[in-house]
Amino acid sequence: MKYLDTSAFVKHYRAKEDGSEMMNKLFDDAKVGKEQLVSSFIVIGEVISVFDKWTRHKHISNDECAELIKIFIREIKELNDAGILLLEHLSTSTVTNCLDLITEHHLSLNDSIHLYTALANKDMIELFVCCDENLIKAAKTEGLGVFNPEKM
Amino acid sequence: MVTMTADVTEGVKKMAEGLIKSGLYKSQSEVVRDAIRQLAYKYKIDTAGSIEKARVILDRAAEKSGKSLSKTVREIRDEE
Repeated sequence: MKYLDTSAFVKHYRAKEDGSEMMNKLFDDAKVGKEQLVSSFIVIGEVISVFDKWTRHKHISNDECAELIKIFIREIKELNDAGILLLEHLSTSTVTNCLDLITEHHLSLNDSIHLYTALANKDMIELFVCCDENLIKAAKTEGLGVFNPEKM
Repeated sequence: MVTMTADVTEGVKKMAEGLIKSGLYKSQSEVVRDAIRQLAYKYKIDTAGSIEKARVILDRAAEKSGKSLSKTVREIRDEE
């Protein structure tokens, strides 16, 4: 099972970004039962925040943003319904238990939520898939195996 | 860190067990599944295009802006 940080997950919605080919292969493998993927439910909010930021900066139109959100949510539902993508739920205790990770590794809250969720499932997770160097460094320090699709 | 992870897992389990005992949800995964169902309804996903369409839109926007999606994730997290 591979844990997907949002920095890697979001590449699935590009064809030409560094690492997107590798992420698309990972999703394709999952769809035929060769991989199982896990992330935090926060990935939904983070991906939509990216679409919204590109809309605010006029890289995409409002209509395109609305279409991207529909496509993204439909895919999340299909993958989750098929048991290919597990999204771990968030709770007050999730945030409470992220605090040590924030101060130990100087992470943002969202970074720490992904790292905590991966650590809480450490026995099942083979690799932490991430494209963010600061979070990769923290994950390695915590003993996770790391894969950066941009480096392939 | 090992101890904290064990404590965290226990805390999450207790919260999920509370929801399950309340009779509202059968399991933690059902909590997530229900949230996704609500999003699917809200965003009317039946009318969504293909993932290839999303890639065309985002690749074109990235070429125009010189931005990557991954770097935008970092920027948003740094704005917290």
